[in-house]
Amino acid sequence: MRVLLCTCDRAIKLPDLDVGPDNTIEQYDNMCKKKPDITHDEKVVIAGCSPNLMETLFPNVNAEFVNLYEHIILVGHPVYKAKDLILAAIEKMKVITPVKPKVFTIDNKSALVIGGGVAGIEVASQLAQNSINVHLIEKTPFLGGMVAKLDRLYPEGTPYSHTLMPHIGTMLKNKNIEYSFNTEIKDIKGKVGNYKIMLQTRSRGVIDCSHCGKCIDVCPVNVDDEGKKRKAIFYVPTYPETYAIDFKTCTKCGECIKVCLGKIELEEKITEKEIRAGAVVVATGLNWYDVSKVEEYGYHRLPGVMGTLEFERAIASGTLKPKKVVIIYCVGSRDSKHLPYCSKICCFLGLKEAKLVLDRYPNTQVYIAAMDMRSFGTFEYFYNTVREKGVTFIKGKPSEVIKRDGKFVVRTEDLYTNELLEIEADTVVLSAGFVADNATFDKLGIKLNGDFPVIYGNASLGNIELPRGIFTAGSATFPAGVADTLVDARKAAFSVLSLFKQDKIEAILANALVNEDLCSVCRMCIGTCPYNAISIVDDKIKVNEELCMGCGICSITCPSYASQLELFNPQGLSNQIKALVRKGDILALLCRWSAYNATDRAAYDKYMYPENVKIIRIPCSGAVDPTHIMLALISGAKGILIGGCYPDACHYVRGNFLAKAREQVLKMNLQHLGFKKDIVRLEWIGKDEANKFVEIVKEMNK
Amino acid sequence: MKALKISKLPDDAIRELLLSLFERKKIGGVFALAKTNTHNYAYALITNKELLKNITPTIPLMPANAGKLLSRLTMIEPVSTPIAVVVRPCELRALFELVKLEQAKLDNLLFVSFTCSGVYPTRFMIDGIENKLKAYWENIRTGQILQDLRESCRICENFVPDNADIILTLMGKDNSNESILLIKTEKGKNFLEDKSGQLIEADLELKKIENMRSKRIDEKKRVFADLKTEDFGIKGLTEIFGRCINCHACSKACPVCYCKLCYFESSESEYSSSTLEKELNKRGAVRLPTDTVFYHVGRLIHVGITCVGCGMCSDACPTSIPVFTIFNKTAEHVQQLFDYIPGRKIDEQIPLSTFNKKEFEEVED
Repeated sequence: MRVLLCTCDRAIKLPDLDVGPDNTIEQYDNMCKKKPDITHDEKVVIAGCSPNLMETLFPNVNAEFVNLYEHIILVGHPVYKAKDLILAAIEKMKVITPVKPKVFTIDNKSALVIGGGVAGIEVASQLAQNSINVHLIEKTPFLGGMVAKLDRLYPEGTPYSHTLMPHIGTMLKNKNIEYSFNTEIKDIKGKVGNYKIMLQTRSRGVIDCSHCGKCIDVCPVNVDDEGKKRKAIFYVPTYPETYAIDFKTCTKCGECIKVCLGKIELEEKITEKEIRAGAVVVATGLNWYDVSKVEEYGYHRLPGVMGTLEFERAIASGTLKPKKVVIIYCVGSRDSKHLPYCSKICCFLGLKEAKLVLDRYPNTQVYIAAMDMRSFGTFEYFYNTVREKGVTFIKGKPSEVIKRDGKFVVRTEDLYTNELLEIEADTVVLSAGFVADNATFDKLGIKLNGDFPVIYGNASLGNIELPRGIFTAGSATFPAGVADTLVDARKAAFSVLSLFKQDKIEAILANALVNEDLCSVCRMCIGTCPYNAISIVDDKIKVNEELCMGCGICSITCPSYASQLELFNPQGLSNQIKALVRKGDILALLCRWSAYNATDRAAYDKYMYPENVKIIRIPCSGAVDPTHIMLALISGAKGILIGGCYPDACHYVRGNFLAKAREQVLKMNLQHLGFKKDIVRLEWIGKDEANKFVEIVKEMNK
Repeated sequence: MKALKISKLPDDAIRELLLSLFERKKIGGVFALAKTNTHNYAYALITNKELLKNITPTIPLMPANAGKLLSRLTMIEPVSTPIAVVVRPCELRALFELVKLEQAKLDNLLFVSFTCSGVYPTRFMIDGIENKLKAYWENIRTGQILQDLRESCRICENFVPDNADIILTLMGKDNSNESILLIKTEKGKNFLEDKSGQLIEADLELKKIENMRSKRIDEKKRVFADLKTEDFGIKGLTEIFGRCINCHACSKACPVCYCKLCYFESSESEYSSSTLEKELNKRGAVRLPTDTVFYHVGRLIHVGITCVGCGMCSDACPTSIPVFTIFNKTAEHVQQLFDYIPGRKIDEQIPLSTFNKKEFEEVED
């Protein structure tokens, strides 16, 4: 192993440093000016200035950095400590396996788009216009998704078709899009640039269609499709222009076949087809939360209590002419029993429903009962418009809906007037929040725990060094209006295009790896991974490379260390601790994102601290193993400091909370084994809090 | 609760129950302690009903923790025919803990257990456990704690098998020919549905249980106070674990030490010669075998939350290190921190196995 030593213009001299027979030492006066070459497959120890700087000089190397400048020279610590730090780093690297560069070849430059709603249509359209071959799959028989179910769109109030149809029209002009309806993915294999996807298609029933509509006239089965009446054979005026049979309700009476000018088959067939793609865009949209779960509002129990969509469709078709409507907001939303989050768009949907009914029937009395009206940005104008139309707003969350003398009674408080109200109405509309369409994400190995894949969709959190092959668009990651969805779809299309610009991507990045020989498949690691990157594949633990961010939390959750973070394995750390810690030392294990930076700051600001404080840089406070702390104590440390990010500021979402919980357990153990309670301290140290760091170690050194 | 009354001594009563389950084809096998030689007892899986005569479920021995054995048996797939399992409460809790860790499966197992008065150290088998039995049952009747039992048993508070399907009430039992088998669960009821006509109403011997529990708590206070772990520190740890010969028998015997390959037995924990040399340069001397203290405290951290307190570790230790006492004394506080009794309920999550903020708030000081 090469030990590269920068003397920083001969500010530090280590003439008698013995690095052992297997290692060679190379000295540089100014590594920042004359940079040695380091290959990706060798292991090195780099001693010089702070790793924060060294990492920019030597990105993607298999190195342990020894901070001589900030931790020795600037703080005036003795030379023997520098030697200890270097030798300990060598001990660590000795057992480290170099990270293998991850090579991704983008073999296939066609894209699979899942979902034929407005998001999927826009993605397909944008990609096709850029000469990318696209396969668009839609699980229903027709394009349009959620938008095609609506009557009008907010805030303009234009019919949905004014927006949707031009987009469909633009897409259809492209010849390089293949469409599969009634189709879902059954299974996906491979990785970015080369996915093998098995598609499963349910037959449409109508094979050859001349669009005459006679089948609808004769079909005896009436279906209520979320407030819209249709037959078991039906058509949605988007695309394709072929009728379809709803096999869930079809009785196979054969009446349609008798009048059909084309061809109908009444046996539902399921076919499978394997396709290949280099990227997948998930545009699966959202579903309404099941309002019947909010029992106090009586959906199902009280016929006539409606969901938003049912109401909109009933008004649009003229089957409902209400006199007095109460729209209840946040049904199940921002409620720990139901949906803990705000779905962001339902406030506008509710306003739209109010406007819809007043546009048609201006004398209707409309009440909106809402905890809060969240009409952010320019939607405030929309809110004002609706308010001026004479809608009465009540601030409060209704406690229940009952039926009295043939009328609905909505019981609520009004926080504006501090009164308890009972509003009689002939129509009650429940404006619910939204839930993610989980099935597709499950198959793609993105676990949701019932929530939206916000972390996966959040571009500011993702691992930008690793190429990603699965993208999201529109409401699949969180409810969004049509305008936001279109922007998001273009963003997704752009990401696919950027990926397809490349033929080969090489990344050197530390991931967690699972050693199957050690793994007992106890699944303990699965629950603690902040990124849901670990799952069971063929009865084995598997880490999804695309999702793993390299925090190392799984590694210490595993009692047999079967899961190990590259460049930071438990054996390496225990070697390092054994070699570094002398009797009476204070070992500081400091998070690279926060506390470690505070030590650099301490050096620059001349905050001096005792020389027996030995610092090791770690990926996250959550990656500290209590057994390593015990090892340090056995090796003679008189105190151990773990420095992490402040609560909620963890780079890896929740590593510091786990660290806190583990610290408490460890302290309890230590106390009963005859150690002082504060021999181990976990402290939140911000990246600039040099004085806090110094005060803590001084206190520990007393 | 419904119960089956059998006018026989406890072991005979269990035998009769199992035989009738066998004959009515409710079960295809029995897992229980059995006499294997003149003085030897071991767990056995029995499918020939003629051999049922050899089972001795209440013999006060625990040659292995049955939880670990059943985990081996069901790790890959559950048993295909129903098997009646007769084990002690801590063994059942160990099994439940292992199920949570995906190392065992409960399907097709019917659990029969009893209010447990503890077991003797396994080495008592050498001189024959039979000559201990009279004193054992006499102490059960009088509700006293025998001082030559395993330490873990003398201080055990969780001796009622809350998660068994059928519970034989033994606490305070006299030597009359009357055994009460409580049917605790729906599953138990299903197995005994054709006996429903003969069932009586009965309950756990609550008063005697409470009496025993308070005695054991006193005993625990005494035992824990005797071993002054809080004075250990590095010096004390090195002294007590300095006796360790690195055989790892404690981890082999421990039911919740479930790793396929222990880190301390893997090549990763081996010292290379250069590492050893560095240690020597720094310290001048190194104790061999190395890392015995590290091994024990490492294990203590790993099993602290899930320790069921069966005492197998101390029983297995050839150099009489009070592993159980040290582990259980520290584990007790950790378990209390999360209000967690290992194996008590199958749907109770192991603390720190998933992240939830509530857990964090609970432990925040």
